[in-house]
Amino acid sequence: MKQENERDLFPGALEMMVLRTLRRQPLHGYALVQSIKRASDDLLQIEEGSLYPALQRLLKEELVSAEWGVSTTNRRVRIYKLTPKGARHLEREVTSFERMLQGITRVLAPVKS
Amino acid sequence: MNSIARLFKRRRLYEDLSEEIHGHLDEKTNELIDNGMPAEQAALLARREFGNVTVIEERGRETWHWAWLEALLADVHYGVRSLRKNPGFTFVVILTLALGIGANSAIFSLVNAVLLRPLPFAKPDRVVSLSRNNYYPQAGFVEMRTTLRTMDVAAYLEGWGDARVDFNLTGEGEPERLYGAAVSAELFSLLGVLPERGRVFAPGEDQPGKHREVILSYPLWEHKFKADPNVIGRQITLAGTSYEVVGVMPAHFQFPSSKTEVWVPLNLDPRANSYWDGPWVPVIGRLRDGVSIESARAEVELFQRRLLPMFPWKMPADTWKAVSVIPLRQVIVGDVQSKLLILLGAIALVLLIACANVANLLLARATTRQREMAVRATLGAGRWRICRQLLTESILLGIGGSAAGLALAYFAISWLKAILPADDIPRLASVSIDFRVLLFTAAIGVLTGVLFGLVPALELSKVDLSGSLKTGSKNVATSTHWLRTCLAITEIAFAVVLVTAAGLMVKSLWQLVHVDPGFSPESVVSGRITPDQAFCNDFSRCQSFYNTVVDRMRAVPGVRGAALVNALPLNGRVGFIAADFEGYPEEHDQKLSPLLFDSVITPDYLPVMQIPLLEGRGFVDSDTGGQAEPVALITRPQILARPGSGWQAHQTSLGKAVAPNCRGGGGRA
Repeated sequence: MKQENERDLFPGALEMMVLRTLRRQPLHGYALVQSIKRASDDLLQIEEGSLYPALQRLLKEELVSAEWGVSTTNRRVRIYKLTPKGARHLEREVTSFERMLQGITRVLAPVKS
Repeated sequence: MNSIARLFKRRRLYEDLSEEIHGHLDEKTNELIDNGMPAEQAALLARREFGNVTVIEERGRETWHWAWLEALLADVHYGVRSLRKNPGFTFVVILTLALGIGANSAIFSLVNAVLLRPLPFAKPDRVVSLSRNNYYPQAGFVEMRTTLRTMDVAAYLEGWGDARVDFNLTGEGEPERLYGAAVSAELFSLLGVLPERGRVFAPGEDQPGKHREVILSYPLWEHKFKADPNVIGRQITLAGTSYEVVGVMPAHFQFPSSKTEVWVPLNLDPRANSYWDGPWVPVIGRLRDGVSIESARAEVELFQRRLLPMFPWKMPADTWKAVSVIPLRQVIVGDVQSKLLILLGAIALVLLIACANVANLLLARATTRQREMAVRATLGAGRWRICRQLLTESILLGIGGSAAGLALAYFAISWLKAILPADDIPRLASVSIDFRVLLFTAAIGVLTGVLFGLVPALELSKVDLSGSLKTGSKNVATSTHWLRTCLAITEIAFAVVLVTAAGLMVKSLWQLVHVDPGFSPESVVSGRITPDQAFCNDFSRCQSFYNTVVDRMRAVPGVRGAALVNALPLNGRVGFIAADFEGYPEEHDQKLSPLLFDSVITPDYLPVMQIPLLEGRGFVDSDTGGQAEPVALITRPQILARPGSGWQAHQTSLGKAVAPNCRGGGGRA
């Protein structure tokens, strides 16, 4: 838990992005990182490795499931999939995140007067 | 249960994680190489972008660690800090608990050693005793050994005095009186115990002519023979007779009793008077495979009926009480079991009182901690969380009490060993703090922690946020007041129970002391002299020796009288003899056994012990000696049992120091 403040993202952000990415399709770790990086146009500074502890947390809470399989490049990889529980969790998180963002945006908006 | 399954899965999880991370690095490196980067540089870059592999793996694994364990550690940490902030309170509580827990641990270690540890024999639950009520003549034992089908049997004799298996050990420095046991040859193999050195008795060595062998106890071997490894085969002199040392038993072997220092074979001689008439022997058995204790009992019952007519003289039909075949453990432990359990119960009550006291202290302190709890609750701690914190604190106190109590128990045990009678409490010497006692102490530490902590914790965690933060603790104060009253009532109730129980015990002790034993033990001192048996083979030498002893005793200033007796009253076994009374109605044989407990006394015995003489006369000096006409004194029940006129008694027992055909001289109550 202490390590959280080393990250540039706020707590839970990485998990949220992982879940969101997995909702589109099941992926293995490396592809997941590439996908997130691409989607954010490399704006977010993600240490590639930090993905793995996040994935372990999601696994423990049964928000994702994992299975060993073979990738398109013919490698033995562990492919993660969103569980129904994970989908519901994502829904909730996104809603509350949007609300928070709205609030922050309003506070940060230039004051007219 | 999820976390338990996870414990086993964890290794697998870690391996998966590790493989996955390395796969990731591999894939990245390959991709970079495909894009035209030199291999070395590619590997380096892949690692740099990934981050610290070890740390990441560690963080991944931490996910699976137990969250509650960390919370517990935090609680313990916090608890220790809060206890250290109140050293006075902590000290008083731990001291209170240490007294309660220490006493419990000490008594439990007693219970553990005496009752719980199995007997140190092979398959101890198959070993039974036939002799809680009934002893058998040596001839009866031999008959039993050859005929019983349900079990193998062994017999033994032990002790001072009448059984004649105590010996004077001479020729090994200072002469020493040894407590011995005479055992049938198969006793050791029946118990399944191997000697420390040498051998045990071989079958047939309890026959006449072969019985001059001796086995030493470990302590005797150690202190008297300086643990000499060459002691086997040596001749030693016991009661003036030479015995060959054939073995040394291990230190833990304490049968028939912890006092036993030497074992010799029984001398089962069909021609000797002692074969039927000597001291009767207790018998133990080992049930054969598949035999139940009930069928063994039935067989012994039949056997006893068969044995009676085999006596060389007539024995009363009720010679033996009801057959008892019971586990040997029960006989060894005897009535100590109930006494110890009562003691353990009483001591547990003391601990409960200590708990109530500590709970009271905690409640008193609760009032001052209201604000602290309110702050915690405000910061988001749930009631269960606060409760857990407080319970952790009280369990810490309990464990502290256990540790201090264990130290107390250590001293208490050596004190108990010193004051308790080793003769009455079997296996007392083996009382110690072993693993089981440690476990017990730890368990009651935690248990008392929960016990005295639960109510205060529930009470204190019931935080009324606004009230507590603003004004302090009025509401809680009233409810803790109520609880503390309850606790005080409980305490008084326990104390009353304890005092009542103690009072009852003191009362029965008082009654025991004031039972009229028929003699007056005040101002009477006793001592024991034990010349070798061989010394008394010459009757006149023996008699003049004893006469000299009595005369010299009388000459001591302040001594009003002196007498000899073969067995002091209320002091263990005495021999008994079957007797026929002249004029004793035959049909009464079935109901009243004319078995006489025989004591051999000198003339002054009755005055010295202040035993009243009801009729007739006491012994006089002229009654003693080989030429005198044999005389006897009998007790009143025998008089009452007989029709008024028949005063002449005819005795059929053989080979007693007092010859047969005794004349009844009088009676005493």
